[in-house]
Amino acid sequence: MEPVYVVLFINLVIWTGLFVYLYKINNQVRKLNGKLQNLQKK
Amino acid sequence: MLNRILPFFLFIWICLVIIGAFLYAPLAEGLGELTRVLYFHVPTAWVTVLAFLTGAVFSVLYLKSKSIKYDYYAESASQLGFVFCILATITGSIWAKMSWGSFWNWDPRETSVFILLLIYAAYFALRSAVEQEDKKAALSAVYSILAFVTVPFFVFIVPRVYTSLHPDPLVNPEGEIHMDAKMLTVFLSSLAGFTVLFIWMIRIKMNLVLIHLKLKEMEN
Amino acid sequence: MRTGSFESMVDAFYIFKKDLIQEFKTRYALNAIILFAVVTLTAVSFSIGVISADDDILCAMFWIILFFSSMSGLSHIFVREEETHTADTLKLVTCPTAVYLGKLLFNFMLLLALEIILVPLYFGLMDFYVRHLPLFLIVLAIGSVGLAGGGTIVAAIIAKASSRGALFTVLSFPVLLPLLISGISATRIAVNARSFTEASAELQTLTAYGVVVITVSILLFEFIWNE
Repeated sequence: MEPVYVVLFINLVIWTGLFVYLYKINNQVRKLNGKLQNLQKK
Repeated sequence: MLNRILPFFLFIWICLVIIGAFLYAPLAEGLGELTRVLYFHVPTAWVTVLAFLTGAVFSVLYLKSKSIKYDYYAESASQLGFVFCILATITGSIWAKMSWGSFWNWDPRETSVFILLLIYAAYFALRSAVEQEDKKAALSAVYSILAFVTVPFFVFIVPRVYTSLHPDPLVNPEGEIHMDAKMLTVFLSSLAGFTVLFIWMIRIKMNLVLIHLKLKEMEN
Repeated sequence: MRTGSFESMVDAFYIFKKDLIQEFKTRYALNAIILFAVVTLTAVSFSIGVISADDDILCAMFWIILFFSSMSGLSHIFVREEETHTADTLKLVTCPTAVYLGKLLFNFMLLLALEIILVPLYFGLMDFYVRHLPLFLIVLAIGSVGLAGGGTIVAAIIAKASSRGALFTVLSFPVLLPLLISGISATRIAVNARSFTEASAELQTLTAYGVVVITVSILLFEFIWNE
């Protein structure tokens, strides 16, 4: 394989990793927010 | 609903930018494979500046309203800015090594990025030195505004003292754009992608701050 | 509290006078700053020794000594108010702008005193010859205004933070660096005996820096002072 494709692949993997991480945190934050709002209503 | 789709859109967008940077965009004359760093280095540097600006704006808002959430927002912006600043420094350094032969030679751009790193470091050092929350907020807000005001001076004075080898980022003094259409497309999409990424990241941080504050409030 | 602009100028002068009297009782800041400069200068001169450094390096060295000496003394003015708990009284008597201007004036005078000692010593010990003396003196004067302005506001921040000593230099350095760079560049021009017009960009930057930093400090100072 040509080096360009290797670097491209590494880049894509890094970006996917970062994205998954951010997306998970985003979902957690959203859930926590919902829970908190429920608690506050009570 | 839009909030749920937007991240996936961003994911695909940046994937396309990465693929475009490696396969679609042609190489610039004289730079060879190095051209590809451009599509990641300039956007990170741009996001650093954006984060620095955001931090200063939140600091002003804090001093105006004295509401503690703005202080946390400013801190979040600075943390993100610091990360992007390090990335910009590293990518820039790689570029410098490959095209000028050394990782670091105090080129004006390198100097200014170094100053930004120093300012961020000083800002965090100040924050860690003050315990009281409102005091910490006020002092660090003042410092970040002060630092923000002095940074433009570098733009004037540093290039006069040290000659630069750094290519002009987008438009050179003659007002010409040194990129062909394909490169420009990838470059601008990369800028847009990174900007949206930054906004998304800071939104997550801001939501976290709000949760943190709510929890504190409920504990009392 | 007096808040009018003329009254705050008068108050600023009173605060300056008060600090001056207080300073001459102990001469703490003056001693610290001048001794620091002399010690650094001796260290530099001693370690360079017989090797003659060229003018470019000497200009840079001069500003570095000036910067670090001022770092050793400029923060004292606010730290003293905090340590003796006199800050609260000052808060009652006058407005923040007057306090800032008074302290700025004092720090400026402190820097001038430092320069009166440092410059002849540096000229003598380091074999430093400035061909365009008026330009050099003007650069020094304008530079001191900026240095005092930036130093004073950071000193005010530092006096409120818990760890006072080490942080002052760390916080001031990035803020004062534009001043340092343009000061060094202007001094190089003065050393090489060129005209005022060639240094106009540096002089403009130095002046603009002083004006901007002092204006922003006046606007921001009350947030630190009333904290």
